[in-house]
Amino acid sequence: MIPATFDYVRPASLDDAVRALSDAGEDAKVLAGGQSLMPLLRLRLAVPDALIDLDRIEGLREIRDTGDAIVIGAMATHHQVIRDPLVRAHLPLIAQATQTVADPAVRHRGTFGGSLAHADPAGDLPAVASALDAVFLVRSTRGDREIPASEFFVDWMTSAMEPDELLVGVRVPKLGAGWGVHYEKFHRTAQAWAIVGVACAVRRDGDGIEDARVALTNMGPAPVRAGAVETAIRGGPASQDAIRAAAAQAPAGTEPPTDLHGSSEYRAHLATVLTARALTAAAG
Amino acid sequence: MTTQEVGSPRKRSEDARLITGRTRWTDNMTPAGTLHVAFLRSPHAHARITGVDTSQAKKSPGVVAVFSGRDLAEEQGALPCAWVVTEDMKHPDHPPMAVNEVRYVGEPVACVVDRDKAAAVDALEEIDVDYEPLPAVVDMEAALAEGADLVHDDLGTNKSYTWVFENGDLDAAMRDAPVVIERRYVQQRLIPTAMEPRSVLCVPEGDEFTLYSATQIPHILRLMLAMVTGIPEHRIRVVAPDVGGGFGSKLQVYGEEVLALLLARRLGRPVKWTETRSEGNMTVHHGRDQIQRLTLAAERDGRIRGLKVDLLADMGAYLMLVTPGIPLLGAFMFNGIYKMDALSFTCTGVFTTKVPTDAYRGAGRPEATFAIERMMDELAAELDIDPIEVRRRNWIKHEEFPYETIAGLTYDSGNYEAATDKALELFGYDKLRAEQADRRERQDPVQLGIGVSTFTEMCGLAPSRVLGSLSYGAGGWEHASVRVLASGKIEVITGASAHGQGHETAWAQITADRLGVPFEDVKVLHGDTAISHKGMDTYGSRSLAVGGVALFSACEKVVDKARKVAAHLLEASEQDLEFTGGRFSVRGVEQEGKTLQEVALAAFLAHDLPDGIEPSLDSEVTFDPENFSFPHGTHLCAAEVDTETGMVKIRKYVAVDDVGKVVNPLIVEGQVHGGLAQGIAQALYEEAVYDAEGNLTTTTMADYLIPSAMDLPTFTTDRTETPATSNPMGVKGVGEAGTIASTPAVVNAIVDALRPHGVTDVPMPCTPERVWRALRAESRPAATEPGAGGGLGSAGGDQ
Amino acid sequence: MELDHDFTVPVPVDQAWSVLLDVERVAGCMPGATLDSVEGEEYSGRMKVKVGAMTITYRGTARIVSADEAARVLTLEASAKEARGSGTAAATVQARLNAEDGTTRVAVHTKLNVTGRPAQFGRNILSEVGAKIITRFANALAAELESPGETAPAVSATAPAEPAERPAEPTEHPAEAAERPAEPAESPAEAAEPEAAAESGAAAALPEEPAGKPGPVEAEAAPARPERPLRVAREEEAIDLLEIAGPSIAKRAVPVIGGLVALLLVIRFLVRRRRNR
Repeated sequence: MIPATFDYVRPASLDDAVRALSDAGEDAKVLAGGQSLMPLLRLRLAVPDALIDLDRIEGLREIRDTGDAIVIGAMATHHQVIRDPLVRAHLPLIAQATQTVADPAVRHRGTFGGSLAHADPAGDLPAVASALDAVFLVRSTRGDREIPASEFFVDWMTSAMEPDELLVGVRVPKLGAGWGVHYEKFHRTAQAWAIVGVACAVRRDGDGIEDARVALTNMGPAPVRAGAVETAIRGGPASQDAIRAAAAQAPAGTEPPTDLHGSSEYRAHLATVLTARALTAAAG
Repeated sequence: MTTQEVGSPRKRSEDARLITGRTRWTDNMTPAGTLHVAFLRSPHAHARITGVDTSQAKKSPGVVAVFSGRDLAEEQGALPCAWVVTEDMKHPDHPPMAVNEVRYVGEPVACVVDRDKAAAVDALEEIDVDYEPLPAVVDMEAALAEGADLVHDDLGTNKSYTWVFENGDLDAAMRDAPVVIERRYVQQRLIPTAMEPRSVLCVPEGDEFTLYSATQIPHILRLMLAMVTGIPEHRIRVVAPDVGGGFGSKLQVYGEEVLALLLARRLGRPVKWTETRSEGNMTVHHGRDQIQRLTLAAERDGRIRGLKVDLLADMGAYLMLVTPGIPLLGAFMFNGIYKMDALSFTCTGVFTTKVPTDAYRGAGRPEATFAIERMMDELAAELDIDPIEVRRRNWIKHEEFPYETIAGLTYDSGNYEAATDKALELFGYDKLRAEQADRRERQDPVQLGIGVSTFTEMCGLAPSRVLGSLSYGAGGWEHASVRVLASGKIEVITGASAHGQGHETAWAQITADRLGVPFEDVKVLHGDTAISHKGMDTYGSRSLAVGGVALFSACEKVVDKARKVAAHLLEASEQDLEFTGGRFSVRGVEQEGKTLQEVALAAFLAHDLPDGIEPSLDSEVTFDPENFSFPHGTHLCAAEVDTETGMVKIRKYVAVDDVGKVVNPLIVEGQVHGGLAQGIAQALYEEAVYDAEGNLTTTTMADYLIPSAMDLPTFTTDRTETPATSNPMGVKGVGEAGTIASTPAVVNAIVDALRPHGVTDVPMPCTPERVWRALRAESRPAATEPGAGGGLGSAGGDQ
Repeated sequence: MELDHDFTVPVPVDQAWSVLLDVERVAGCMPGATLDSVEGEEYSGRMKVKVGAMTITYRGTARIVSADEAARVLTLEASAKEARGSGTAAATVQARLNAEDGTTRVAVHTKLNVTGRPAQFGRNILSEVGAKIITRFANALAAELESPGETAPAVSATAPAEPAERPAEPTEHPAEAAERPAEPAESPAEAAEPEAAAESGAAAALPEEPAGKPGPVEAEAAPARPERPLRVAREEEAIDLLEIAGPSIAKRAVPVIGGLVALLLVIRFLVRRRRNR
């Protein structure tokens, strides 16, 4: 497949990129790693007027420690994220989930920010960002703004960013001590999209569960924060019965899609099973 | 003469260039002045073409020409079907490019020829086609109903043919049978998915044409192109350069190949087309797609009385090269390795508005093997006999060969006991059964199932007379020639057409041994009709069992010719010469001798040859086998089934295959591994899905799931070796064995795991959701389970 | 595939029917759709759908199959092609109005056949979107039907021409309307009229009209006509999910693209009805 014609811009600086995006109008697309955009271009489902390639911009791949949070540059590749000592030390859930993204070749090109900006509810990272209350750092010629994960994922493959806004990085608060994490991905083959995924963080307090964060992949048009599960498990015992009872709340408020790989009904069922497993693993 | 090459696991000499891609893939070749073709394809499953406006596209940059089907209607002819299975078979016209009506999504309706490949694709957007949509026909059973919408109006029916084979008294076998099992299985539609997409390049030179194509069948393609276009056969040269897999999908005469030839003729310039993956998924012929209704009658002790097979086979929209015959190849395999008194086989070919089906790895035989191997497990369950035991009670014993089966074939050799015993040992059958019992006892959410598949297949296609009796449009021989060069190096030319199998290595091994020359001294040539003038090409696990044997015999001929020259040079009688290690010597006087190379040079110089001897050691042989070959084996699969999610994980897989004598164990191992992956994929992953409107929804690999090494277990493979008696090498063929055997082994394992839950079938592919749904349906009576294979019943006497 | 969409508007059925016949008002409720021209029985337009990185533009025509004024049932057939790419969308749409205690229940039944690339994936690319578009259209239409409509403030640039001709419409009886002579097709330049989208509160949810339209000039030509000119947009408006962000109220079962086309067709049908009068 061959993409339709487009203008190609490869700015050398972030300022140039933001300006280029602003100038290009709403039918421009940003090329981060190409993991999702390249197939869309080749299938001609995406026919942008202009493509703004962030590949050469200095500093966008940086991952740094800001004290109580880690800021991951939008252009950090999945491969880089998985191996990064800060991510491994402070955000093991991200490292674990990223390890399940696509295949090694794609993980060397695909980027953390690109995956999130694509806002595919079947992608693994949106649910993880949601569970970790990540904050999206966005820039345009109009200035900078921060968008919390709870507001970032608006709808199916749609984020809260305006067409002229660029995702620069993502600030993820460190969970701190006492948290266990787990990403439970359910897919038919190793490289397939998750039919359902569960991103989970649990803070144990002796035999009980003090706090929990649970977010679901591919259970609706956007990642779903499973608030009912969190409420049900918080402050209770870390027993299998309690976990199962809480996990039974996972489908609450979700709108799982029906597609070739699973019906809505099946996804709802899977969410309960996988949430229980994720909680168990994270609480382990 | 040594045998150090044959039987040695030599690494394949062709792999370095194939793996790196630094070779002659068709798409790698772009002669100066090449024009690029892009096809506009029907988005409709079924529609009348009411207008094609190409005027805007003709103004697009770089465009040399734009053609609709109507523009080419006079010269494009019709795509051939070479297997007319019954006299009254309905055989619709099949233009390479649609003229009046489209009948599947992806059917070509127009094409752009452009100096630039990307610009050609852009120009497609400028073609405006008007369609009048017609009803899609996607369901075979509905297609046969009274008043159904028709795929081909002029045929008056969606039925292409009904073909029947019967032997033995089925009524008697069924009458009063103590056990009768009825099942309905669906062989889902599969997309062959060769690694290299289709690609064709046609280079005109005056009124002659060289057509490069990623095809399995350069020889058959040349003849068919000549017949379709009227260009004389000797003016067409077809080259299959390195070809990256086919699995049967390149055993075809495609419209794009015919059109490339016609466009090159019209425009007088080289034209090239290479499909994209999503284009290929829509337009490469598909495989399988059958509905099987089976009735098996047996005694209480498990002995089979008879089997009734009623098939619906989806032809798709048209009959392509061997479309109608593929399901019939299975007719002779439904009895498997078992003895029975009666077999009845009926197959009805049905037209639908989908891409045509045709040969796909195994071609009719995997479907049949699946059916009988699933039925054997159902029989075992019904009688509460171990599935291995019920097979033992029915299979042909090793001392009974040769054995004429109820399907009329003569199995020349085999030893099912030996293969099964070996498999059971490698598998740890008893231990896994114990674990299964333990998990059942504990009500473990992850249940264990054990699946058995004791299969055989007919391959080495095939005796020409048999093919003739089946109205197949060609013979089943194969050709080989050996050229002995002046320096003593050897060129081998084979009519088999390798597309990833490793012929260059295996053929050199055979030649090295027969002629006593170093492996490195042998060059194998294939896939070019100007070099290999005769051939029946590669499919149906036939290369070694037919083409390899032809080479074996051609080498013997070289030795015979060389012997005459050597005898003359050594002043000895031919009878006194022995040929060992590439050297002729006089028996008893070992120091006196001539190497083959010396004899070759003498023949080349021709200064001193005996009277009546031509100055050449070259030979050629066309071999027509007297019988099929019958590889067999026992495959055992242990599958863990997560009853909470429906996920199936293969825990252990043991394949013991008997493919007769082995030329290169490494190649055999590779064939088995790849075959297993493909057969397991049918069981668990792959399915071409058309929606109710006839749209193919699995056009990309995001939806058409192919397993990778990540998804498959480590296979345990081994062999037993019972030589074929139908050829002098004792070889049988291995190209399809893994695919044929593994699908039922996996599904049997899944059903075995869930049988205590009342599950008697899971439709393929056994996706997690389907397994989950099968479990949820367990409370319902099996007989009313939709899509779950019908009821398990027993009738008669002793109840 | 078949789609059903029901909604109730708090106006009497006669009023709803007559408002539905007002092309400009209904068109304003339809996100992403643009009416281009009318030729004889055929009504032509475009619709641009943007979802994340994906964009699909359709061009198409519609024609009336039947209009049962007494039963308040309209049926039409329409077909559209992708502006680039070979895909198509075809639909038969039936809109049925029922009086319910002084309100009107609107039932739209659509038989839809989408082909080409958007139909060739296991994940329904547009299924999420289409349902939302239907919902958005319905919400906008309901609001439109509730509003006084004819007295809604128009965009200032073109406002002067409008009020004069509008008052007659709300009281217009459908039967009378049918007797109106058909209008000759207008040229795009004459027809360009940017105010329609702003006619009601519902329309405010639409993407903004392109700026800089030469409204007043065309508006002056309009008063001479018995009706307002056909609303023809200059540029394609894309449906943008961002615009309809918020809690998803889409019904899972409603297929996607069907919704888009159904709406487009409804609008076209109404356009035609009006022009036939």
